[in-house]
Amino acid sequence: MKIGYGVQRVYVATLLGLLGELLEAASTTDPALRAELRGFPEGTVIGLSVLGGPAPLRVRKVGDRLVRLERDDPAVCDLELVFKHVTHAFLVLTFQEGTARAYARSRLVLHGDPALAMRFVRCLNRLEGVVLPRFVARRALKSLPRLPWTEKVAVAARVYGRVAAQALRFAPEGAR
Amino acid sequence: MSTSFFEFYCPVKVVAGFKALEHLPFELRTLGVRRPLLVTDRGVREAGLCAPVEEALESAGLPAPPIFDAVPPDSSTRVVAEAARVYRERGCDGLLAVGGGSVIDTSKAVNVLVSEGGDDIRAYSGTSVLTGRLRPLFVLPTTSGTGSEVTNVLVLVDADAGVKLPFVSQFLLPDVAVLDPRMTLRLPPQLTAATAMDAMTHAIEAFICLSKNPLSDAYATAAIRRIADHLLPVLRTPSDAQGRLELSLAATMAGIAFSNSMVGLVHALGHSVGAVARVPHGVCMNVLLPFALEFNLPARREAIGELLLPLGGPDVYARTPAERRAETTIARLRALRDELHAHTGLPRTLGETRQVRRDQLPEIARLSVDDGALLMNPLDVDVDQALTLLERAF
Ligand SMILES: [Fe+2]
Repeated sequence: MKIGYGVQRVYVATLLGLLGELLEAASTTDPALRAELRGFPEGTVIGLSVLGGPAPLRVRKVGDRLVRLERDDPAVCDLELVFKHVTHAFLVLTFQEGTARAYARSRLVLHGDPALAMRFVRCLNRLEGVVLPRFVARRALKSLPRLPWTEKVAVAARVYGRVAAQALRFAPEGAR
Repeated sequence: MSTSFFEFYCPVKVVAGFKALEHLPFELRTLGVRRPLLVTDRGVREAGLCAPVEEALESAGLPAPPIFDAVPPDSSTRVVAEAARVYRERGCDGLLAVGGGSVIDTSKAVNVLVSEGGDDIRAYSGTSVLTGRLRPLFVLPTTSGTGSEVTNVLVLVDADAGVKLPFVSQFLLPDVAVLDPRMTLRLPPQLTAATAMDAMTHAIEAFICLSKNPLSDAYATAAIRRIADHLLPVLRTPSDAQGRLELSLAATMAGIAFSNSMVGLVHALGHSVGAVARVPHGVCMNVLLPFALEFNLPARREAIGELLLPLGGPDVYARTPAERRAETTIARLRALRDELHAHTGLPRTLGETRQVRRDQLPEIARLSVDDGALLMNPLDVDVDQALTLLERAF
């Protein structure tokens, strides 16, 4: 079954919102993610957006955690990952294509410091490694994480996993 | 259907071969440039490599170009600002880089300032920050390694913070690359070997990393074959102009390959060794290449095995059973390194560089995992794994 751009847009908007929630929650509870965050300069703003797509997800490093920014916050991103089309964002946010794979395929462009991008990609990988069933994670990631996950994040993760799984049911055959 | 996808972009006009230099005046005129700033370093100038360029321009009725020759081996933001000032003072309308990687990167950075405005190049660092086309940039490489004449990247040292600043943008691609064997004819043996192994690494990493694609593969294998065929003969007969040209072509092809599919673990580690211990880039590549290939072997056995064809030739390839080809590729690279060491003293281990101390390895490992080159490596690498690999290469 073919999934239209309009539906993909709705899913991408939802998944970006959930991803933001998940990042925020994980940054308060997951030791691995917190360790990674320590390398980010204070106040760093990171954005995930889609050309012509729904409102971008932006998070700011405050203290030792990540906080989502309101839609009207005028902050400028220090690092921005921009998907070239909603369909590419859909592929990544439903884990059909891992972040590194998507970058290798030029599905998105990076604006900003590559070292910061490496750290943020590790955060995303960490999240995906935990959120996803292993058979999906194996496809989306180069390697699987070794640490267990805490309860609070697991709840958000399950929500994300459910929405992503539902989106996948509509995904085109060739893309699965 | 396969879900693969790739992009490939190389808008650089390559002008290569016998009397290539004398094509430069025509190329300048075609892009409407009358007064390029010639950017170079003192070593290149003292080696007499600017004189033939000036003569080629003057004999075609172009005025003698203003020259900026103060580019150091590791160029910095300060040097770029200084060169941009000279460009503006002398009313230049394009850039002409005559030199190796540092000179070419400096020229790209100067071009950013004189095209986009301002004096602080740091404002443009990072990926995809530039917003439009720059002034015409002509490149005459005097080494056969970096491939900078056909890449979309440049690296500078931030003179205040002491850190390296990367810049990535399609607008950094030069307009014309002129490959003339006269420019590399007197490159000293060890530098010839080190820069060729940098090019070799570009081609190999382009071929085995995540962004590999059919077009970059074609450039990568063609580059590897040329280096395998011509590097040792050129070291034996340094005046071999045809062999020199083949090495220049190889470096350019490898540059096209990795500008489109990027590099991986060897470069991530090598950048960090260079930053911490100031080992020249080509030496780092030569040292780390086989160790990083061994690390990537579990994920890339087939691709590494395919490299035996350009590296060892059809007979060796056909004689080697498919399941042994990857190991044989790495063994051949080690053998090549041994020969280079015998001919030129090019170091094969971090210890042999005599510039790296064992107690620096943890810091190098930490830096390496934040290097952008790791993103496209087929396997993830954590700090412990990087350290183990560095210990092995010591
Ligand atoms: Fe290199």
